[in-house]
Amino acid sequence: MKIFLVVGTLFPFDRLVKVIDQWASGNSSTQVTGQIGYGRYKPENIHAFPILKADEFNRIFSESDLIVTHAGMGIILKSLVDGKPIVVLPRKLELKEVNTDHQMATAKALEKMNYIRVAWNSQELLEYLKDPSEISSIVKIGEYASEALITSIKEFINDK
Amino acid sequence: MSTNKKKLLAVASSGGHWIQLLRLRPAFEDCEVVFASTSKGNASEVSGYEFHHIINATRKSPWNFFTMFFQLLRVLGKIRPDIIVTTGSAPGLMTLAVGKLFRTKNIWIDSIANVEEMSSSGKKARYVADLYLTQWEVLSTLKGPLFKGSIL
Repeated sequence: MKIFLVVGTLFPFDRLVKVIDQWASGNSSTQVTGQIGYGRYKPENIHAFPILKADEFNRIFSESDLIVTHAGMGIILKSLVDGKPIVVLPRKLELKEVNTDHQMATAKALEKMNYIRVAWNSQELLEYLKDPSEISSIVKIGEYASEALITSIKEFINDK
Repeated sequence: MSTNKKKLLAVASSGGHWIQLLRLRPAFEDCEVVFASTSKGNASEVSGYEFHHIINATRKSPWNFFTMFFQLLRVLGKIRPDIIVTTGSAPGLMTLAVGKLFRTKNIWIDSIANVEEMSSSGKKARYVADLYLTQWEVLSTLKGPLFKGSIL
């Protein structure tokens, strides 16, 4: 079992890194690799990098069985296109993990539409991780945007 | 190359905005496409296309907006696009604004990550976008933003 922890690099997200690091100390059979940005918390039980080069990131991504991440659209879309199992812990404004509460809103909307599994707090994340191999991908999406959006943009371009 | 094709500049900051932009590629197939983003590494994802690296500016680095403004004047002067499309971010907004000096037709698609209200750049984009879109139907209004589907 391999887990890839992806945190985004714009702001730290120590709450997520810490809970995964502590979980990893008791689950040494699972290999955890992380792209964790530049936080204060220094993990000891995961193979962590502040930021990975694209090819390195893609290699670890494809070798992983589960993605644990924040509610960033880049990693969510990448996982959905690949049909990769993903659990999302959204960043919170009240904990100063981000500058607006858009991650909470995005996570809520995407969960409702059945695209992703959301852990609303560390406790829920640990519940999911009791049996990480049981977490499957909910949905796989295509490489491109909805037909409706593509057509509208194309029409606008051709009219101008 | 073929001169009667429209020239389209697709621009967004690196990360989630960029990944959303790439999902729109089939919409650009009739155009001559040029890409621009804030990370040089993104060029490899659009190999075969002209790519321009632009400096990143955020609310944390506002002084970079000056550098970016002059950089965009130079880049847009060189590319001379007919159409600019962006999936959001401050660099995307700035490119649309500078594009207006070159009389471009502008498309703003607010990021799918803005579910409850338009992004702060997205609110300003109303004044420089000719096609002004949200990806969430609940945010659409008669005077825009309009909803025409999402990148999902």
